[in-house]
Amino acid sequence: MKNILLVEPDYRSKFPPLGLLKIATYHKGRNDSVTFIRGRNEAFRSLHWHRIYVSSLFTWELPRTVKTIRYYQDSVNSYDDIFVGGIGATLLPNYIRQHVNCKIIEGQIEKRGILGRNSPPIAHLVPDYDILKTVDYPYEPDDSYFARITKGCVRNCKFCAVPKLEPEFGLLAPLSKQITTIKKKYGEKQNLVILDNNILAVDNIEGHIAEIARLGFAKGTKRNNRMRTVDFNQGIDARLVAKRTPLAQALGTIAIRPVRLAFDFVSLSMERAYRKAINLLAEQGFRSFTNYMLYNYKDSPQDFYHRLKINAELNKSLEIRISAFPMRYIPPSDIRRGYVSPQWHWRWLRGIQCVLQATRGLISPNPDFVEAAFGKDFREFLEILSMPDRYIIYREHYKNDGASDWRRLFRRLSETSRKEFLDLLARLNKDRRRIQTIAGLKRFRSLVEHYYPNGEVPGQHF
Amino acid sequence: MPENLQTKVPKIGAFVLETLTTGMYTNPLDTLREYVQNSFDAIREAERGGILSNGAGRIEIIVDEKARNLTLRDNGTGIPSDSVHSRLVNIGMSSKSIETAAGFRGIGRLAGIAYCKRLVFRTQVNEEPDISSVVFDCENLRHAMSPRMKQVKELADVITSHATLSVEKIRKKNHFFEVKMETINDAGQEFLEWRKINTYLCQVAPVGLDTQSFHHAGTVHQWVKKHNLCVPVVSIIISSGSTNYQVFKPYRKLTYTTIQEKHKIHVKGIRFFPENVGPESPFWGWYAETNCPGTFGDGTVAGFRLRKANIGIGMADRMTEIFADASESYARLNKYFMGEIHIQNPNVIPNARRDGFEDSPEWTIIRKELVEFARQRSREAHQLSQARNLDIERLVGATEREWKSAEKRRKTGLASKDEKAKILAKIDRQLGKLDAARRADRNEDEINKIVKVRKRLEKTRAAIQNETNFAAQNLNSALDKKQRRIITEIIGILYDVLDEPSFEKARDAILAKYQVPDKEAKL
Repeated sequence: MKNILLVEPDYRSKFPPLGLLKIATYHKGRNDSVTFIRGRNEAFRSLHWHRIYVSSLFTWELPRTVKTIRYYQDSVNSYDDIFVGGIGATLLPNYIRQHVNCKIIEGQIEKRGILGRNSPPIAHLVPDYDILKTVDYPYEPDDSYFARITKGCVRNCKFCAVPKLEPEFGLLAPLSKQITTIKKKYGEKQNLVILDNNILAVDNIEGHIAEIARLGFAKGTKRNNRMRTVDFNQGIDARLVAKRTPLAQALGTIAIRPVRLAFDFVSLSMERAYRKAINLLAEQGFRSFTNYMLYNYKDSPQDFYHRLKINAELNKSLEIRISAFPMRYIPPSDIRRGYVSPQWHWRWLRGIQCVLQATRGLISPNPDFVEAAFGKDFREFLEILSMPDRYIIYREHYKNDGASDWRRLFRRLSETSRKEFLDLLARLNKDRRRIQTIAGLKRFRSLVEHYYPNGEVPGQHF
Repeated sequence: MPENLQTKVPKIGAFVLETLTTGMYTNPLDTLREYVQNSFDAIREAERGGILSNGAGRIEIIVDEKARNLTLRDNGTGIPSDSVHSRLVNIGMSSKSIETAAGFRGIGRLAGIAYCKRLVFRTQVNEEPDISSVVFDCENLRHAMSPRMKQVKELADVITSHATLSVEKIRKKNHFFEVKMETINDAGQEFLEWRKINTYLCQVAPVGLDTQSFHHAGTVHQWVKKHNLCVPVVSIIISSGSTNYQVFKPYRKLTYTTIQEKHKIHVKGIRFFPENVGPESPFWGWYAETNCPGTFGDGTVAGFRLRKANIGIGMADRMTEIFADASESYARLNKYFMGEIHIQNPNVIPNARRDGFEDSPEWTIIRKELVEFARQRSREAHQLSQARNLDIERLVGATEREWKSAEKRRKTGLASKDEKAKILAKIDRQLGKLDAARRADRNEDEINKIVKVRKRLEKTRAAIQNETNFAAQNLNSALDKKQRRIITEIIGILYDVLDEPSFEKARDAILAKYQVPDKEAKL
């Protein structure tokens, strides 16, 4: 019997750390006492633990993950008693290894002996949802079954970490079995969240969809007077939907909400497939879509704007609502979030972030919003992205007070000067002696004043 | 005519209850020890009766900080519904035997009354489909028994009017006993802080050693097994919010720091005492063999701890007193050690507060032995500490000076047998210091230095030991004491200023003039 501490570093995470929850199931089965916490906490550090597990997620959160590991290092007898696993640890194990002494688990625990001599594999265990109840953090979505039918992905997109995390595409335990076990242990849940990377690529997908319907998630099914929903959380592959018309019909039998489709890069064939998929799904009566939109990869701002326009067009013609989730690309090996692709400027990425701040990352399907937020044409789009943060965020407030002056100055710049100016802004952003640098500027002084009044970062309150 | 007392039953006032609850224990958490103890007894009874398999006994302590509740639940035998009244409402009438049970007075369960609004006991036995509950309305009870009450009420009346007993039918077969302190008041704040509960219970409760973490736990277990001893244990799990923590005894490291964090304490091994222990021995114990540099910084492990039926008695204080009995100045040395002393003699009984033992001839004998044991440990600690306090450079320097002066005496000639004995004693003292210094924690480099100077000093010692030629003794008897001294002094000065061959030449010349010719040598 042991005392086990599970730690999720206190980065922002939406889903519960399923790996830790499976480890909880494993240890509880051995009669161990399991405690789950987030972040660094003196009360728990001061105690002795037989083993501590720390999860990891985004690579740019690895510095914080390492800090968390270090924090708990003296709460175990030996460095071998701290285990670190998860996505970040799998993508960049060496980063952790260089910074801290601990045991690193790469990939899922699918083999024996990883958690100790002869320990069983645990990847297939049902996560222990009970431990979530006790931690004061709003994981989403609650009251849902989490399940996966497949692992890996059939595609090999260069921007994606899945090929490295789960190199092989394959089937996991039957869905009905997973749901039954969760139901038995933790009670019935309202909704179903399918976490597969590319569910539609599985053989006999219609069979799996029929099973989902049988499990109580056919379109229109209610429980406790509330509609039940299925969420293919990682999105469905538009190209596969477009390829076979019957697939959309099959999807139409279950209560998917929202329908998530990725629109990660623009090519003629991709655009065609995307439009067709949306059309087919709209025909099935789906109205609510979300759209993962990768940018800052090999795309350009034109591509970004173009995709916004396509969505707006589809919304109008099909009377549907596609909300876009722009996803900024960060190379899977970066431990910082600062990557800027050659076709983008730091200022523009920042501009998008400012636009999205008010809507928590989502681009509303409302045509008025899109035009107000991103401009009525591409020229205006770039102009908005180039504005100082507060002029974007508090647009109404600054409309006549500053923004018009800024616009006059900015429009005077030639194409090349604009580029030089945007580069200057990127440099200033990282400049530790910004005030001195600005004081020494010969060009762009009055424009820079809008971004850094008196050389300082303006407070965003009024 | 004396009155017949039998017709008049003596009454007991409600104030007595105050003494038994609020007035009884020094630390509010002692209440938990009482409950743990009762649960522990029930679990052991269940094990003996085959209701529980050995090791399946479990005590759960659930702390609900927000609601200010604490629940303690065990899976022991439980109490049959027909004896619930007599065992949970009656006071001081426990039927438990001193021999097999840890708690036996029947007052401990009232301890919680002081710290909560309602005290609720619930229990079920395997054979019955009933859960019996007894609820004490603590707020009004406290009021009624307060010494500020003008009108003294009778204890029995007060209890009857503030305790309710009820029975609830259920289908499920089960056996348990549960005590719940509801709406804990400010005086009981500690009951809501699970870390404090852990710190307390790990020192007091009959839990096991942390075999996963404590390197030497196996040694203790083996020794216990080999000597047919019995250390009963129970699993205690504290739950609070996201926390689930099993309580173990606090011993788990190989290295501790002293209280000022100046020194490291290294646990090198485990020693046991006394020799030839068996199940009938009055007591036995174990302690960590360390370099003894000072007081353990970790207060939960510092000092010898007395245990009876594996329940801690009085933390480290009782043994500190016993060390003080060995010598006033030894008192602080108890906490230089880490260990346990298990009292086995059934006639040694913990007092009602469980911070010591009742006076009894058996305890007096054990105590005497423990005083002697404490004296030995203290001396050991002193020796080690003196050795350690010597700075290594100073020690080597002092040894070198000692060696030089011994060499000088040897070369200039020893004055007399007395002087020889004196010099040898001095050398021996120095050798002793070196040996002690070596035993105390030293790194390799330091040990090498010690070995080197020691060898040299020892060689000189052997030479002096074999010396039979006493220079001053053989001086001409015509010389008086002062003159003799001057001569030896001059020889000393020459030794200091001359190189060796010149010195020997000069010495021989002086001795030839003033010494009586050694007849035997010449023969």
